[in-house]
Amino acid sequence: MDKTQVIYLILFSVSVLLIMVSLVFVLFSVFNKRRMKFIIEKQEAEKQAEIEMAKIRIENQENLLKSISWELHDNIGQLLSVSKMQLSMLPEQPTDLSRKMVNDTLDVLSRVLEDVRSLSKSLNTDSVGFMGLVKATGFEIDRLNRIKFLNAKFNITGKPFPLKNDDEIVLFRILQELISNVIKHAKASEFELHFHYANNGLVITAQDDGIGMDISKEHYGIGLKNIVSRIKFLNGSIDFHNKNEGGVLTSIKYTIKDPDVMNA
Amino acid sequence: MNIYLYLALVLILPFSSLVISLFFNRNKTNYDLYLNLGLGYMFFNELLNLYIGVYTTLPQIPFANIYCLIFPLIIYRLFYNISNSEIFRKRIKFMAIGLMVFFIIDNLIQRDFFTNFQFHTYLVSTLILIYIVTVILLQIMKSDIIHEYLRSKSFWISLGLLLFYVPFLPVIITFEFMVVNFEIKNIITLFLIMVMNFCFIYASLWTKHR
Repeated sequence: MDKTQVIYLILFSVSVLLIMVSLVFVLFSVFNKRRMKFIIEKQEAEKQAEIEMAKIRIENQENLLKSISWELHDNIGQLLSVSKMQLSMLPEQPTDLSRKMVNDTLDVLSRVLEDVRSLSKSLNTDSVGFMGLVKATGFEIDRLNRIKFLNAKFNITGKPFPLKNDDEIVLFRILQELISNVIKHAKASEFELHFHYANNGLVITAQDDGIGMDISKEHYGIGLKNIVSRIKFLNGSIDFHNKNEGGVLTSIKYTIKDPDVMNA
Repeated sequence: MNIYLYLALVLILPFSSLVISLFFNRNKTNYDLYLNLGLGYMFFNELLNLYIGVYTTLPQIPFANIYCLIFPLIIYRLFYNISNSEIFRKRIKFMAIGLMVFFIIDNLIQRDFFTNFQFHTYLVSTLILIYIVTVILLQIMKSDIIHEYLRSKSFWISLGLLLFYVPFLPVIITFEFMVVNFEIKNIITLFLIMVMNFCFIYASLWTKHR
């Protein structure tokens, strides 16, 4: 090959290589970009599906609780009322002892009736929605104190504001589940619930003086799993911490997705 | 560059791809037949060129001209099988018929089938092929295969063909209008054939998706 031909060869080779490298570079960068987008979309879709599943599960549970609440209110409550009425209409008994027994039974029936009504209220999401999270939680704490199982306290800091109705119901269910766990497993005598309203959301802390719990996720029971899935649904976070002095400190962080809700 | 070395490599490369695709193919698909047919025809064409050049006085040009029509048609058929889009399949069919008609018209006008390389037919077939490969790559990009596109057989076949035909296009156009030493063309062609066959071998050995 003469000199001109060598120059031609170099020129052609460089051009071919340049075209090839540019092609490969463009192709792989476009494909990688699209791949990343695909992965992100897939993750989003999975997350969305998970939220939908949690939503369906929560809706089903709410429906079940509502049915139980109606049953308590309309059926058992009515039966208890009728029993109370009938006992009240009993003619005066000759002996003091019998009269005392009837009066005692009437007292017991009144208390049972009150408990059934308050249980029915706490199970029904409509009443939670109507009363609001703070009031409904207050009722729940009162109910807890009434059964005299433990001494429960409830306090609030910050200025309370209404949250999204569905979110309030879910938060209330989480609190009920927490309280139920304390009653069933904690062996506690004190329970304290604290709401802190901040600008961007609500921080709930619950603590007891019980025996503590195994906080590793593998050992979560159905109740704790329910709490976690509900928190996921709210896009919030939950943290369990065993206190040194005994008992569990639970922190729930809920951030407002739509700030306009605060002004609603 | 030694002409025998060039011929040997040009024969060995498609032959290796063909053997690997036939006997060591780990990812069986519905377009393997056309890939094997294309590789087989590529190998057969080079062998025929070698035989005619060494043992006969026949012209090699008509065989090269037939190759310029048949090979792209096989590749179009391969992509016809790869594509899932009915509209695009119809378009491939239409373009294949268009290429055959163009080939006939080109020969009727030029009347040099036995003496000259059918440059226009080659140009049209290459442009169609680049268009088809681009659309197939876009289809891969929009499908779930994008998640693992490096394990997609159709991606590597498309890449191999694209890396051969796109850089070769300006080279062949320049050679049509300039008098340049044939050896230069051989060296560049050999390099591009190597790259293309590497992609085909990769497609047969290390892919798991369509």
